[in-house]
Amino acid sequence: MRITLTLSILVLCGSVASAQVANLEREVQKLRNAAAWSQIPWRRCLLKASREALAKNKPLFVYAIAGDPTGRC
Amino acid sequence: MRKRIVQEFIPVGITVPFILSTRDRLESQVYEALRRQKPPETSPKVVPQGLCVVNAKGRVLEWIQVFEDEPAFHAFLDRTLAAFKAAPIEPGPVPPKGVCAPGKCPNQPLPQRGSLVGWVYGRSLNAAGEPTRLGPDCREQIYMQEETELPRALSVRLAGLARRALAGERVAVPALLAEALIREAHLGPKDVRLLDNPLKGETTKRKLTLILEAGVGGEVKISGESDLRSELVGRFKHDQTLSWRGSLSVDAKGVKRLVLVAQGRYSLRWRGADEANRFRQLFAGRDQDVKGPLGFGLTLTRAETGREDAQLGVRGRGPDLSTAPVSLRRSLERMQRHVKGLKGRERARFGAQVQGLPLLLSEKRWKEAEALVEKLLKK
Repeated sequence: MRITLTLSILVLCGSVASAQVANLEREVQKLRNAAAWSQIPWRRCLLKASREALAKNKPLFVYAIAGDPTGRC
Repeated sequence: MRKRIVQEFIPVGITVPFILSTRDRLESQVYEALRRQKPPETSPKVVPQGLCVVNAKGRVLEWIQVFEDEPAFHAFLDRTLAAFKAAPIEPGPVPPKGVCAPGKCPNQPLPQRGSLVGWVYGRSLNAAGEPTRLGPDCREQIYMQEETELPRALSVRLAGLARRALAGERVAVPALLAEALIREAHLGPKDVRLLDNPLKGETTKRKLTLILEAGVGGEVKISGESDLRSELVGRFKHDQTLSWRGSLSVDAKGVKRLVLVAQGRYSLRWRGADEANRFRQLFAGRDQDVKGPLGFGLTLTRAETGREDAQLGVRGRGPDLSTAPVSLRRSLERMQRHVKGLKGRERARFGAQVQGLPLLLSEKRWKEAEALVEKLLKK
């Protein structure tokens, strides 16, 4: 009886914790923006992109930045 | 805008310091071709940043750093496409064959194994506490997203504190660690960062507390407050007050996952560069004056695989080496080459000796970092 109760409490605590973390994660995702800029499939390898540009006869659109191109400047 | 870039071009995002820090690699040769063709008005001291359209051999068709409006952006695309069609690709060797192996591309470095990696999102909120609607021209003063990495050394420290919290203690996170966790949480460009301001603006830490306590189900509850100001007279003034709450989980290997959210208020006044120097400021060239409620969200998970401890300084999400002296960068490059030559136990021993380095680099203690690297290399 005591073991069952302890296990139930542990399971309950585990699910409360998971629910709390899930809530926090939902809050984080709510802040995330689907900005057009972040939806562009930026290639990160210059060599690979150059070869792709050659094969498709397209120019490269290069975003060069001192920080992370997927982040802020 | 997005449709045109995707359909008519091959979009590439490059992080300039990564390329510049790997001068012995083929990518840097391609990048050097770009650098030689940077806009003529750019000072030799300024790292070429911005947007450029180039052909597959690295011939620059046009560089640009600021658009006045959306029609100007489309005009740029039209001009560069016309220039591309008018100038056929020169005969000669094609870009070097082969693709960077995973983790070997200087523009796509792996995270440090055991570090915590993830994203920070920030957004201005309306009076009801809901994220404000963002248009296609969303600016950094109302929205930010940034990949972030908490170095392994700090993650290990955090795990130790979390275990004390789980044992029943109420643990205050040391300032250095708290700062590392919330460092990227601000709106506006990096220039107005509240902590470790790149323009050397003066930072006032009115309050910065993060507390760890045992939560339910083996989780560690995080709560705290931050009240910070960064200011450079004549350029910017940035105030931010936040209440933090979150949760982290630990296992035998250390911190497994961390989620943090914050809400509060900010006030940001930024005076952009004068007209003549606007190009240097890129997107931050215009004056800004915003204030109101804002929120941040941060999720980090442990990198189970990645580069070894000793291979530092190649990822912007780790220690920021942009202001490190050249001599230190050279030492780090030598160390990386040295580590590549080590195997098995030797490599593990070297990794253990270099444990303190990420902390020194995070704190920009360049002289001490260089002395440590040189000492290890002499051994």
